[in-house]
Parts: sequence; C-alpha cells; structure tokens
Amino acid sequence: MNRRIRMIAVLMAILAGISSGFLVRQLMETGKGEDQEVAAIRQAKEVLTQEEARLALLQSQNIELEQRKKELLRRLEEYEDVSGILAEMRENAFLSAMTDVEGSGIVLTLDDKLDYDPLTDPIESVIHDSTVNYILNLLWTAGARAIAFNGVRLTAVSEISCVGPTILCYGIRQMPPYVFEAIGPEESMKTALETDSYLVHLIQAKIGIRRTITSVDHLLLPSFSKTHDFLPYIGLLRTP
Amino acid sequence: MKNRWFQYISILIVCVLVGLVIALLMKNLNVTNLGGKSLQELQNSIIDYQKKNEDLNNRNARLYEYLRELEAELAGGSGESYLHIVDEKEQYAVFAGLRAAQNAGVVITLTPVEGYRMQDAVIRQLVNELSALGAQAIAINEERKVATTEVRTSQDLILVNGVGFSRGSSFEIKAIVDPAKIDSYVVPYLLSVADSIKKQLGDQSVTITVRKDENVLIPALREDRIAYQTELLKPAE
Repeated sequence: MNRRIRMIAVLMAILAGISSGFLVRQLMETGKGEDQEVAAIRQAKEVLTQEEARLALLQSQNIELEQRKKELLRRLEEYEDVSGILAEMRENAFLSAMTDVEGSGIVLTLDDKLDYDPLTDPIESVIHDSTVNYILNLLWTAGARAIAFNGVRLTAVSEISCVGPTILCYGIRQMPPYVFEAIGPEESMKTALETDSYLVHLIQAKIGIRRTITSVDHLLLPSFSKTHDFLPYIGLLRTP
Repeated sequence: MKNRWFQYISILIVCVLVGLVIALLMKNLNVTNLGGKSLQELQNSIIDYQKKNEDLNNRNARLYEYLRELEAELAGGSGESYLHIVDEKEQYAVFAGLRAAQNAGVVITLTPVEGYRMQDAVIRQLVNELSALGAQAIAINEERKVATTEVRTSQDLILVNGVGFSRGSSFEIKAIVDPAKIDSYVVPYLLSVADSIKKQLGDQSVTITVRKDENVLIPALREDRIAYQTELLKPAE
C-alpha cells in the first residue's frame, strides 16, 4: 500500500513538474513572442501550402486549356482546309515531347543507400547527376522511345545537372527516390539495366544503392508542357 | 522519521524537476513536429514550386491567348489562326531538333593521340556539361543531339544517333549557348573540365580544345536517323 502511495506521489510530482514547465514556457513566450525559428517554419509551411495549391490549380487549368485547344482545332478543321498543317504540327509536337504518350515499358527506381553516412560510406552511395545521365544514355541505347524522369518528360534539351548533392532537372530540385519511366522494348531495356557492370557495382552491399525495375504494360508519360514552358529553351536558336 | 520525510521531499523535488525538463524539451519537439522539415528545406521547396508555377503560368497565358485567336477565327475567319498554327508547328520542330539552328556558341575539339581510342564516356561528359550550362542545341560530329540520342562505344566505333565514328579520329562537339556567358563562364568552365579529363586519362590520350564561335551552325536531325523512330509509342488522347 505504502509503495502504491509513493508511486502515485511520484507521478503527481512529475505531472506537477510538467505543468509548471508549460507554465514557465508560456510565460517565457508571452514575454518575448513565439520562438523565431518555430514562427519561420510555420510561415514557410503556409507559403509552401499556398504554392502547392497554386501548382495544382495551374495544372488543372493547363489540362482544360489543352483540351479546349484540341477541340477548337478540330472545329477549325471542319471549316477550313488546315488539316495538312495541323497534321504536321501534331507530328512535330509528338516528336518534341509536347504530347502525352503511351506504350509499354519499364519503371526504374533508384534510391541512395539507406542511412547514408558521409563519414563512412563511399561517395557512390548517393546518386549523382552523372549516374542519372549514364542511365538515360543506357536506356536510349537500349531503344527507349520516350522517358520521364521524376515525372518530367525529357526533351532534346535534357538539362540534368547538380548543385552540391542535389540533382536538378530543368532547374528544379529532385529528391530520391529517382523514378525513370521509359517506353520502349521492355526486355532490351531491362537487360541493359540488369547487366550493366557499373549499375551492378552500385547495387553491391558495400555501395548500397537501392534499385527496382518493373515491367509495365501501359505507361502514360506526360507532355513536357504539363510541367514547363518550352519557349525559353529555344530562345537562342536562329534559323540559318 | 524526520529523515524519511526528508527523503520523500527530495524525491518529490527531483520528480518535479524531471517534469519541468520534459515540458521544456517538448518545446523543441514542437519545432520538429512542424512537418519534420528544416527551414532551409522548406525554403528550397518553396523556390522550386515558385519556379514550376511561373513556368506553367507562362505556358497557360500563351495557351489562353492562342485559344482567343482560335475562337475569333471560328467566329469571323481572319485567317490569323492558320499563321499561328504554322508558327507553333515550327516552334515544335525547332524544339525537337528537326530544324538547323545558328547563333553564338562554343566548339570543342577532341583529338586522340596516335594509337589512343576515344572513350564514349568523355564525349558524354562534355555533352552533359554543355546541357547543364544551358546549351539549346548540340551536335556531335554534325549529328544533332535530340531526346533519344545515344552516345556509345561499339568496338572501334562510337555511335551517335546510330551513325558510327572511328574512335581513332577527331570528334567535334558544337553547342549554342547564352552569348552573354560564353567568355565569362562557359569557356573557362569547359577548359577546367577539359583539364580534369586530361589529368584523368593521362598525357598520352587526347588533346581537347575549347573555342568560342560567333556563328555556330547546328544541323537538323536527319529523317533517316534512328533517333527519329517513334514505333512503340503513340500519342495519348
């Protein structure tokens, strides 16, 4: 019995301590205002939420506008003899990655070594832009006809670079896991990825890069226009 | 008896202090509970979203203007939408690499030393560096780099767009880049990359020159090239 009373007294004392702690904290915060870091994080989170909502809105607007464009062009075709030029435009849009495309292919996912420690793990245990470019070349060589990297369709101007440890794709920061979706001959692409000596080296236990390859019967890759405006990427090009 | 009370009170004071410490520590937990991201990470994400939004907003604004023209054309028939379609068709062709392009840029020449065989990785590295520098058009030995271009070794050849070039011959990489950055950044940076490649490969390997060219001409992708093939791919409705 005595022991039980003692336990209750200890718990009550801890609770009293916690309550006083909160009281002290409250008094401190009332005095100097909310902790600056907490306030900055809270504010940044609010801005981020607003930007995320804005992107979702712009994406849905983009889908509606593209749909409306298709509709109007179809109607124009009925009234005027523009079918030839429209067919050429659609072909060029297709070749320049400015249309959504579908087909069978593979999805490759790469991730840094689990619990990577820069002090003990080799530098190859994190994925670099050079590795991404290497894999892209491997996939094109194996016959890929269209690729999206982390949801962004790759074009003739495939800008993949890095700033420190961060990979950029068309200037936008990318975070692991890195997802490559490729439409093309599944077996050939899969074999290329599974047998390439550099990739085999990266997935060894001592390097620890995590890799998964999945065959997919139906892949839908987005148009480049779903994520970027293409005109800034041809602004320097003059016709000879 | 007095001693026992003293013990009880000491234990209670220690417990109160422990509770106090827990409460004060919870303040720090609150910071990390705000999504688990640091302020720096959140700020980086905001910058990324702002860039995405700006890009998409510009694209949507242009689409909106285009739709207005199309609607006007359907209502009255000014004939302007035909010209707009021609413009759009050409812009896509330029973006796809189906048109030759010209402007100021850089020319990199790689000449293997007698007996040395060029490595595809070296060419790829330079091409990737040019892409990262914002090159808008690139050609390797007059083969236009497009989305599907591969650069790979096949025995004595290096294949670009399926066309083979001897590994013992010179390779020329041309690119159109921002003229404002050529002297101040692009050429010095490429020279440093060239130095690091030469150090890596050794003296008896390859000489690399980098020069500015006020009028680089990048050819269009030829229609008979493998990179033109779109089998296995169809536009999604």
